[in-house]
Amino acid sequence: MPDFDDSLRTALRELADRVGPPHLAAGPLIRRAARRRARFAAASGFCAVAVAAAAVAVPVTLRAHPATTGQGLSGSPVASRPWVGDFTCGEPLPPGLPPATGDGLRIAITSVTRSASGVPAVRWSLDGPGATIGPVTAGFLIVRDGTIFAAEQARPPAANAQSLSLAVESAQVYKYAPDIIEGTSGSWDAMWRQHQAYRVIIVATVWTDRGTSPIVVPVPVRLSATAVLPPG
Amino acid sequence: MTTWKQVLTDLATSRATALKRHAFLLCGNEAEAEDLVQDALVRAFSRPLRAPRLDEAEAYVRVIIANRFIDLARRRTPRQRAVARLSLSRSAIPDPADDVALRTDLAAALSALTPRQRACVVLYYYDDLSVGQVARALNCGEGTVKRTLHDARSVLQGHFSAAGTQGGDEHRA
Repeated sequence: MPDFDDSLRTALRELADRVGPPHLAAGPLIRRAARRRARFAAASGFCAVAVAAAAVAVPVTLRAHPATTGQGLSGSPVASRPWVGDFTCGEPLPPGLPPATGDGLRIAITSVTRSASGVPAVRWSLDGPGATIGPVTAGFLIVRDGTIFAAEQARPPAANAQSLSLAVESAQVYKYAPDIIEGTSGSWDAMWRQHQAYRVIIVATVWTDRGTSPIVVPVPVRLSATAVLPPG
Repeated sequence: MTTWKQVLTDLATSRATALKRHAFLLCGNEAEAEDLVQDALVRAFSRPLRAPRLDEAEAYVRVIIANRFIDLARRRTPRQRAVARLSLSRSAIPDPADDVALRTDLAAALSALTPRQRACVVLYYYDDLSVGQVARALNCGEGTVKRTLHDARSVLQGHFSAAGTQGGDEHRA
């Protein structure tokens, strides 16, 4: 029925032409979209980590690794443990690769520092057999009682993948109301004054050659370590 | 300003009227159409776009508007649906002044369609998408789109033929 279709097309255009311009301002739309982008970035990077964070937030479950136990800058112990497990969040696995395992690889937090304004920085290292042959994506979370207060994700340069520091910039801390406090300098400072013991969880996705196959296959390994933020 | 902000600004300034018209054909209400456009623009740029070109972004926003309209129509409470029916029946009361014009009004005919039928009609006839493109936009099969379009055509033809018959009777009387 071409006649009816053509008539319908014409009538729809005539009906639409009666509608006037809307009252739209780009500024509020950009702000709303930016907030949603930040929430999406935080949720996509750390949704599964939040569950794990709730589990490791209980001190009893922590097991200090003798090789990586050190001292924080302020004298409090930094208890780290290698954590190899079933994080399913973060970098998506390319299809066809074997399941992620962490045979032999360990991650350890070596220091947790804070700047004068209270912004935390975490330094960590990877050790163990197997070369790191791909990009390392790392993120860290500031957790208390299973609640994530801040999160950041970064991809350090390959040359510095074995030991690096990540600093949460106030603009990069995702606001995840009501679970994450907005990371302005002022709120960081108030946060440290109010609560002295926060747990730091670092999660890294490492591409390494596990070496169990005659064919060299890069295996994405997800590792995590925890430490207690020293009191300030 | 980053690219997505520039594209969003361009859409909100230069293409807002076209997007509102598209939304108006779906919902039949100017205020609701503006809300749909704003909501769709925010949703479209809430996640990184692969290639945020203006024309592609606009097509994406149009698809979001159609799907958002269907979602909102599904979520309407029974009370809201009853109010919509009452307001529709009140506006359909014959007015001696513009009787024929009112009954043959396309807006009234479109309101007789289901949300999915309406979305199919607008995407196919107004946006000139193919059946395959409509199917991808609404996340359904091409057969579903063909059947929905056929049903929508039947409803619209029935509406117009009934209005034409009544108008002819009145002219003859």
